[in-house]
Amino acid sequence: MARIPVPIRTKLAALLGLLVALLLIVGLVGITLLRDANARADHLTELQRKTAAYRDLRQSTSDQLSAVASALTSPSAGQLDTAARQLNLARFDAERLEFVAADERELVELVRQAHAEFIGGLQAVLDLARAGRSDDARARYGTTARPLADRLDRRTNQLVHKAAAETLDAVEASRVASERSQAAIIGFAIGSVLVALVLGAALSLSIISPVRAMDRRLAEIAAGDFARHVSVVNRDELGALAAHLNEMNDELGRLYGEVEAANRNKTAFLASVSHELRTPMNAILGFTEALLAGIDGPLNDEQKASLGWVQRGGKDLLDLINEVLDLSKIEAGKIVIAPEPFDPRELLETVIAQHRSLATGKGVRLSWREEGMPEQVVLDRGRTRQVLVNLVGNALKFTEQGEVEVIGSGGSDDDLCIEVRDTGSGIPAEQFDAIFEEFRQIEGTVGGTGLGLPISRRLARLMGGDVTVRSTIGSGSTFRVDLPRDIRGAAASRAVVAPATGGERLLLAVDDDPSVGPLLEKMLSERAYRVAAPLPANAVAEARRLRPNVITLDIIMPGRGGQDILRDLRSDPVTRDIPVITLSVVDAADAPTDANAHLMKPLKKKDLLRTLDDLDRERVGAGNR
Amino acid sequence: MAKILVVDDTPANRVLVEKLLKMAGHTVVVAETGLGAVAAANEQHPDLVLLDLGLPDIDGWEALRQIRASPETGTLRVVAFTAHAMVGDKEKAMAAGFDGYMSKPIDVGTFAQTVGGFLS
Repeated sequence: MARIPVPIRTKLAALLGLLVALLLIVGLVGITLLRDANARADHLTELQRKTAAYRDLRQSTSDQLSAVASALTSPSAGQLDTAARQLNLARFDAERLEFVAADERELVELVRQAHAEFIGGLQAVLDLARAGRSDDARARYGTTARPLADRLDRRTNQLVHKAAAETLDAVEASRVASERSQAAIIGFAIGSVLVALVLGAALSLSIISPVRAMDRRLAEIAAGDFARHVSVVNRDELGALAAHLNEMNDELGRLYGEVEAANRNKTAFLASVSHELRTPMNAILGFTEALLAGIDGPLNDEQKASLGWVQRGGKDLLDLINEVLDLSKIEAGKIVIAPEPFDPRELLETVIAQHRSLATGKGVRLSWREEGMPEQVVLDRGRTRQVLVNLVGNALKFTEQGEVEVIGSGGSDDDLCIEVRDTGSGIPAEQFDAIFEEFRQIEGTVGGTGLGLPISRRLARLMGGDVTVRSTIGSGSTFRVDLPRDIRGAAASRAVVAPATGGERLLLAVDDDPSVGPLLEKMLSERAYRVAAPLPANAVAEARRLRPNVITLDIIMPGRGGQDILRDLRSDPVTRDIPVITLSVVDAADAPTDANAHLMKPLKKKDLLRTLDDLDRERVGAGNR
Repeated sequence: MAKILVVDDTPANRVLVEKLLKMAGHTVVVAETGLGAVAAANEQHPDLVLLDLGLPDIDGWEALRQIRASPETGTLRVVAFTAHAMVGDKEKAMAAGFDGYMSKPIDVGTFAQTVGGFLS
């Protein structure tokens, strides 16, 4: 049905037309059968009427016979008149007979003759009796009237029997016909329903399955997979739609590739420029500090002040370079999150103390308090501190008078929640997203790279949290950091591991599901394998550091998916040749093609061991060439 | 005080380190290449070598290997001195046979003290 090259509208109209035709046929067949049944019922009524007429004839014959006979036993004028009246009535019987049995011309003619002769015979008997010749009349009755009556009776009986036989035949025929009609109607109805169902199903399948296929494909495209085409065999509107979808997929894929490449180039460029800038900056700052420390002899106060400006400018520039480097590291997935337990109070105090002099200098009150903050958290302390320093520094930068207040609490899920409230100028709601984008700042505000908030948000997200903002123009802004209380929980066996040594081999399990690492470890207990399960955000950095013998990679993960991680692994000379087994609920057909093997979840030990053996053989084979 | 061999191909770094060490009262010998470092180690018998890892001819790892291979210099104290501070670099350096690890940029205020720690 899908391959018929006509528009869907035509297909639907054809199906509808067919259904109407089937209905009409069923209706016509029904009407015809009803008409037949009606005709048969009429025929039966006719036969009944005939039979009744014959019986009446027989009855009146016997009435007439007995009337004449009784008139003969005591012939009186009254009796004879009664008998004569009876005979006169015979006319009607004969006429009725001709009327009801018009089709039995021959037999009726015989009966009529016999009847006429019988009536004539009886008339003659009556005439004799009326003439007073009773004996002759009796004799005549005996010799002619009785035999005539018998003959009439025989002939009438013939009619009766024939009618009875016909009635039986008609009843039987009617029964058979009724059964046949029933079967015909049921058969026709079932046939029509089946035809309608089959055609309807074929048509809807030919519409629904391509729509579903395209819907699935669209969802994949939305998720960033441009690797496949949807295959729709339809040669109607849906076929055209699928062709356009595939064109769009290719175009989007091309654009996406370009954007990604451009973004990678930008990131790589920023990373290398920042790195190159840091070396001379270190010389500038190092010498400035050394000069200030008197390395080349004592300085006068003006020289010290001037060098102080060099130093301050240098530090600002180094901060900026470090921020750009940080951002490029985050983008390249090269930041390692290292959880450690610490007291958030102590961290808040440190951060506040660090900004105290800046606040005092501006005349802004800086304070912190807590409302049920956890006493210990397990997070990357350095990165958490970086986020807080950024937010408090920002708040102070944009607040000219009033206060900056930091409030630590347990948040909604008893995690770590830190709010930084200022009494600055506020941020318009339509800028809430823009301030978290790189190199964006509210127009007309004081300088800075505009990287602090994007970096803070990305760091918070790397640790499974987020940074959000709410603000009222004129009365201030509140930046809120939400972080899990313990990110080790998400990675029980994700502690930092040393690189593989000796005969022992290392498998790096990259999965957002923390149970996968321990599972693999169990499955590999009889092999000389260690299993390391880093946070997916750290996967590439850990692979560089640990140089595992094999990597298992989940494909569908929040944030950067397996495809992205695999691409990074392949583009890095250190990790390029490490065999990667993709591990996912997705089918092998949908897995990235440049992986070395694919295993379906739920994982089976047998499959895992066989795949590892296969990979070993391949590597040995490649080594021998 | 002590005699210290400073190996760095970046002149600014070399000069700064040299000045800071001299200010702290040490004798300083310098080298700009890996092979130069191996030769200077052999001739000067310094008390401490600050060895940059990224050098133009042979890198710091190879220079260390050669210093350790020679009976003359095998027991010298050699500290890795690098700008590429990556997680795990320190472990790698200690595993390779360095006696210590310092990351660049140096902190001018505490540099002399840190070096003093390697000498004791």
